[in-house]
Amino acid sequence: MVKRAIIALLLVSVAWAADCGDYDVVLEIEAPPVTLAGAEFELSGEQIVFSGGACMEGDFGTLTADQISYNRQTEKLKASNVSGEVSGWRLTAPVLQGDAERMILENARLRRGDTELVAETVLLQGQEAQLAELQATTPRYRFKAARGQLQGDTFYAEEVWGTPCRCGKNLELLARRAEFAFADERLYLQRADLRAYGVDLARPEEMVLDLAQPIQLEFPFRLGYGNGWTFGVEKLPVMLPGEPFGHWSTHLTLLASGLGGSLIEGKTESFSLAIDYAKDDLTARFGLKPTRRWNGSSWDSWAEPDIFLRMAPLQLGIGWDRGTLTSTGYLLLSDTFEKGPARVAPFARFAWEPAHNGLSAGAGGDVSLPQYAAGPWSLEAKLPYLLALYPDAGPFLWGGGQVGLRYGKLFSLQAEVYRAYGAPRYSYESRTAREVLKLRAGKDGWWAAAGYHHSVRYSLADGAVSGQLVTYQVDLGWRDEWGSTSLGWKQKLIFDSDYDLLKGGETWRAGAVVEGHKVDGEWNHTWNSIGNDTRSEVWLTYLPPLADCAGGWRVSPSLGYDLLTGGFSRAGLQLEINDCCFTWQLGYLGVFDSASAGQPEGHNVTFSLRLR
Amino acid sequence: MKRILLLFATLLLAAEFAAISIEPYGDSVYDLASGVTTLPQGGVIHDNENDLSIDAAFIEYKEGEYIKAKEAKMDTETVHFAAAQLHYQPNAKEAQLTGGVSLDTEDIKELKAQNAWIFLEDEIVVLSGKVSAAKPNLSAARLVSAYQQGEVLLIAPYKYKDAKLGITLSGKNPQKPLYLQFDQETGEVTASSKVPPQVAKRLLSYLERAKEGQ
Repeated sequence: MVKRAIIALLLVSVAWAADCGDYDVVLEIEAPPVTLAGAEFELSGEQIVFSGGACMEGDFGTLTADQISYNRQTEKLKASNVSGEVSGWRLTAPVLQGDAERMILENARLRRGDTELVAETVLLQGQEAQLAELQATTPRYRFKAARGQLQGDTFYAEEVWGTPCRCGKNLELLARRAEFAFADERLYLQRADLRAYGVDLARPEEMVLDLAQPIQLEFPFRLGYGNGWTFGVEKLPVMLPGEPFGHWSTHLTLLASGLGGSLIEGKTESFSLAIDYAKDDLTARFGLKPTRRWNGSSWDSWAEPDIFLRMAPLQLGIGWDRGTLTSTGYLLLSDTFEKGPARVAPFARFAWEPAHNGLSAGAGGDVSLPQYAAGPWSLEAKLPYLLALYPDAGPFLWGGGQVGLRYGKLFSLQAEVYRAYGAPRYSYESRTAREVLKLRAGKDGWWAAAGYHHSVRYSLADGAVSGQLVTYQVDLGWRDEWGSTSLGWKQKLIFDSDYDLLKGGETWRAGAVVEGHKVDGEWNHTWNSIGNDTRSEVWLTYLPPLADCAGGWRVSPSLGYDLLTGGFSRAGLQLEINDCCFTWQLGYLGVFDSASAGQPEGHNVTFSLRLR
Repeated sequence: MKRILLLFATLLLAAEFAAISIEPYGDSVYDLASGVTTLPQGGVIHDNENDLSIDAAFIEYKEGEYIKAKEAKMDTETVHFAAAQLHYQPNAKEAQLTGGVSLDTEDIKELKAQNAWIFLEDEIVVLSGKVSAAKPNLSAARLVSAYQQGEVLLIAPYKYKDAKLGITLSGKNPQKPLYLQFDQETGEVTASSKVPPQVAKRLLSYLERAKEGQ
């Protein structure tokens, strides 16, 4: 019958996936096979109504609704509060209207992972859905489009406008056509137009964006002052023809630092020049950094090479050792293999290092023991290891274990012990023997953590123990309706090979966040081997809350006071301006006493711009 | 649907003894003590008023109290009826057909059920046990009908198939019967899974009575 055929035709055009057979009353239509079902069924005159939870099922799947009604005379189908799945998208719509020709969802929402589409209308046609007047939201972008089409894993849109901004449109993207490929989380734009503050930045023919990642707009220009100017570009993209916008393989660095300023001993001026290249499996960097340092009476000059090449399993590097002012280099062949719980990374390496030149070979990796869990308790352990063999020296073996014990989110304990036998010869295989213990406990409103760390370092030159480091750390925090408060203490002791103290330091820290206002105070205290104070500085910073959207700005002051000399050691001021898209930062830090502040004396100005 | 039920009713309404005569095929054994007549070779039960005859392979009856028949059947040009066992009690105005019932008429083809109860006074028929028919193409776990009012209650699992329209209506929740109402004049059907409470109470009570009677 014609009327039945029409209802069938309407329903078969829906691409759903589930089963209506479980409903109390089921109406099946044979050709084509379509099913209407519901908790309640009523046939009265020309009107068929499924209510109390209804269902429509076509060849492709299932759509549910609060109610589905079909009038046999007017041949109209209507459903309310519709939901279901279309091409892998979770769909909801308050109303579905259908007639002999089409099936239309009004004000529909489609969700897939973190992406949401809202469309004024969705026209369903077989496995495809045509969307009109739509808005899309992904974790990093907002889009609008005049039209769109859903085809399985891909969503095509035309006349697209998009922005990575949280509000407003200071940075916007226009494109004639966009393809959202959800399978590989990529967005391909064609005939795009990238605009900032309404001004065209670029009109790339093709542009590829990562849907889950923010747009790659690293601000490459650098300007700063810290006893000499720093200026230039760092990782400036080189737009080679044929490369999609934002996915450039080549970057250029031209950066001068330390130019000008007062001539004090140790003042360094340098000029970095580098080209970075990364595409597919090849990563390369060719750089040179001519540098000169004032020794008090004349300049010492050198040129630091900065060369790196990786093409798995081969790696090559040429660098510079600042301590000995000599160049270093290595050629490494290494690959990683995994088999069950074991990971093995064999290597062969030829190195030119200040301590030695020569060959090394061996393997590193770890073995993960199976996790043990009983109720809220869980226990996991890992056994890392490294073996290095040298043709001109005895082998070096390093290994140990780390164990993690956890009781839900309430408590965790981590213990590590590593031991070394023999002596490492090169930086690649250099490992410390150490013991580490970390405890953490916390509930909703509070947390407490404590840590202990002891490590033994070896000299690459003679293989002897060169020093030992011991740290203790305690942190406490709690949170209530007013905000949060935290307290911390950390002590760091450096010993020589005989366990005689060389120097020590500790930091006491107290911080509070009250209604978005963040105040931090630190007391940095260091002493020498005979226990005399070498530094005692109180450092206070205040960070007011930043308005969430456009026009928000804040000034954040910081001040350091030297308790030993009784004067200010450093002072800073940072201005931060948020528009909807960008955070602009201009900072100044004056360091008046380098010993107390723990950083070089002078005036430092920094500027940065980043996408919010 | 209505007609099937009317036919059942007519057959058994006719069994009031005043309008009924019984002809034996062979022996007719009358027990003086109990007043029960047994026809071991069977016989024919005539409904004189409606001019219907039912053949049975075995008949036992007590005047004014009951008629029991085995392998009861009626074969005319237009009606084929069969029941394995028939038990009619004129005083209680109840008839019970058990062990398999089938009916075939011009309008109803291959109606089958395990059992049927007919409550003559209330004009209610209950069919139970693999209720099915080829025309109309339906099946149900049980069926209750107030045949004079044109009311039918299908108890799930039920299925109604209309080959011409190419549709099948089905339900499998035994707690959710389908209520059908046939308009006496136009024959138009109204159907609903929402059974009015008073209708449910009335019709479902016969299901209970039919169950108890088995």
